[in-house]
Amino acid sequence: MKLFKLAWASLLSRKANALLTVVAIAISVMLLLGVDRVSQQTRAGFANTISGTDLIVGARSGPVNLLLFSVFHIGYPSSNVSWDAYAHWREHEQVAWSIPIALGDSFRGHPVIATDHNFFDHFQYGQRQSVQFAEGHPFEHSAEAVLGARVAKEQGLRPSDEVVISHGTGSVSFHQHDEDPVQISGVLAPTGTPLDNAVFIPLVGLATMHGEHQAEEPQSPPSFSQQSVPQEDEEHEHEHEHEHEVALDSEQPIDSLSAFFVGLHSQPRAIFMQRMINTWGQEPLTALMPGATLQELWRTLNMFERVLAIVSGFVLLTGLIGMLATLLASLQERRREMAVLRSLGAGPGTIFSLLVSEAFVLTVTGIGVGVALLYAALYALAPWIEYSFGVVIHISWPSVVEWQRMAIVLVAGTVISCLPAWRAYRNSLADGLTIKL
Amino acid sequence: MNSIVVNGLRFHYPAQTEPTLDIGQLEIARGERVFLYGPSGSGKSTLLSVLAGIHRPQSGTVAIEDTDITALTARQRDHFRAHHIGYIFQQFNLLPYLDCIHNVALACEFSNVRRQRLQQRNISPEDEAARLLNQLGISHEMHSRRASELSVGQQQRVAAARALIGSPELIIADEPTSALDADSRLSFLKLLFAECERAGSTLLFVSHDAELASQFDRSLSLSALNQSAEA
Repeated sequence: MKLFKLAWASLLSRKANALLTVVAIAISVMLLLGVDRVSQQTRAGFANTISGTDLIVGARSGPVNLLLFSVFHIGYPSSNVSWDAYAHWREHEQVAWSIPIALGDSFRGHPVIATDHNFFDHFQYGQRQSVQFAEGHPFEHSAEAVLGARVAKEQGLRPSDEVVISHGTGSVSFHQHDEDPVQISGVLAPTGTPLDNAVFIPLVGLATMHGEHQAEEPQSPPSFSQQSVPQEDEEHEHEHEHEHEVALDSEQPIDSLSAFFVGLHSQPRAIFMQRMINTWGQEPLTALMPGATLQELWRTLNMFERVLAIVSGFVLLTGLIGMLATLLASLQERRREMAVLRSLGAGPGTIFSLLVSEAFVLTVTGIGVGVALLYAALYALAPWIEYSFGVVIHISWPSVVEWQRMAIVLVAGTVISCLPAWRAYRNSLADGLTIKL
Repeated sequence: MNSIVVNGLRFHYPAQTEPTLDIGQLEIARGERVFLYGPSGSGKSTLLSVLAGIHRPQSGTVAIEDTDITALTARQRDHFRAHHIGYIFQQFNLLPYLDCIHNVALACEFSNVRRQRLQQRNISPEDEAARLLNQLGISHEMHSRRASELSVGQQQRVAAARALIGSPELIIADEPTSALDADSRLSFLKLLFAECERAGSTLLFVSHDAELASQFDRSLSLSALNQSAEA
């Protein structure tokens, strides 16, 4: 203990060097833990986007693409699933419930999801949490819409307000369904998933807006996935005011879908169902199991995580080398100090442990400051990360992995200090009681 | 009773073959104040390192207070030094980041024997440090100053206090006055003598300044003692 006090007093007398060393270690610890923390949180955020859905089915495409547009509303479906295919699989004996979705429109930059009441009844996220309403109720008419929590907050909208949905995605759209204002029937409670950023309308509403029921060839898919193609626009500009009050329980509200979510009676059957859907002869479809595909998606993103981890590892190495350099440089000026301690009866071992305990104090302080910086950064950046990426950062105590990393830093710092400590040991043996200037 | 008894001491550094020290016999009585002089290069520092138990001679015996320190391990010699020997350097005796009191009390941190001696008199190391500093002319308001704020003369007196705390049997002073001017040299010696007498400590004082010799009970020439070729 006396040794520790001595090391501490000695360290305080070299404040500037000590401070720089602590800052270098703190920054590397912050990065090392921060990278891990953010990737863990992102992973958890990804996994929380969907729960309880056994299969997602879309037209034949890569599963990651299907997952991205159906769950994260990123990208577009390359082609659509016919209503007939959906109707076929919906009736399959293994299927407990299904949610059809059609994408492609947007409202002031927020994706619009056309679906039906099954969505509010069956869609789950996080740990099997159902979608809740903060205000209002699900849509009951074709000209009604439900807003995600963030959409309502950002646009300052409440139930019974009227909005206009635009064609295509993107915040600036050249074609608006001016003639089709929809009324907001409800606002969802926040979920911390991409749902918060979405607008939900009934399938019938989408079909009405696009005038699908008046189209010459209603059976020919895809009918709305190419809305961005200019020639198609003429087709949509039909008069259909009289259709605004179309009932929602229409047998076939729309000709084709972007994808549909499936819940099975028995979850272990999912792999058989997936195979069955993938090999169905009537229409080329892709079925995916969300968990497995999320893993696959994560493996892709894992590359970034690894690169970041490697970079922060090098930052840590730089911090430790900085400490090593500082300790080595201080040895020369501390030879007198060592000789004095030797004269008082300190053994070379004491000199050795004095230097190691100094490095220990520096490393522990660096780790402490680094963790404090990390939490400060998390508190400062969490709202921005949630806003920008829809990932909710939960600020919690350090995880086991993080404690392990801190322990590794501590051990590395202490081990690395054995080099200057060894030199001090050798010096003190050679110098004895002569004071080298 | 003798404080130091050296017999047939031969010492050479690992890289050398010729001995740096070759001393047939040296005896210093307990409580004696001995002046050891010799030109630089005569092996003064080496002899002091051997007497303090830092270096171990290749042959011969060195008995300090009736303990043959050549028979001790390095660790035991470190402990022995902490308990029984007070050491004063030429300069830079103090840890610059500690105040005077703690610089002096530091000697007790490394030696339970010194602490126990104070305990028997019911004095804490800090109180004894303050007493010694006052005796050596370091006034009370200086006690909490950092060593780096003191003059060289003051630093040497604090160093003397540290060597003396806990009454070690032997005080070794390696040219402690060489950085002082003539006046402070003599006053430092007087204070040192008085405190050694009070503690009952033997004083081995090394210097190349022969003028000081008359102040001591006895003076020895290292050149005469040391029969090695280099001396």
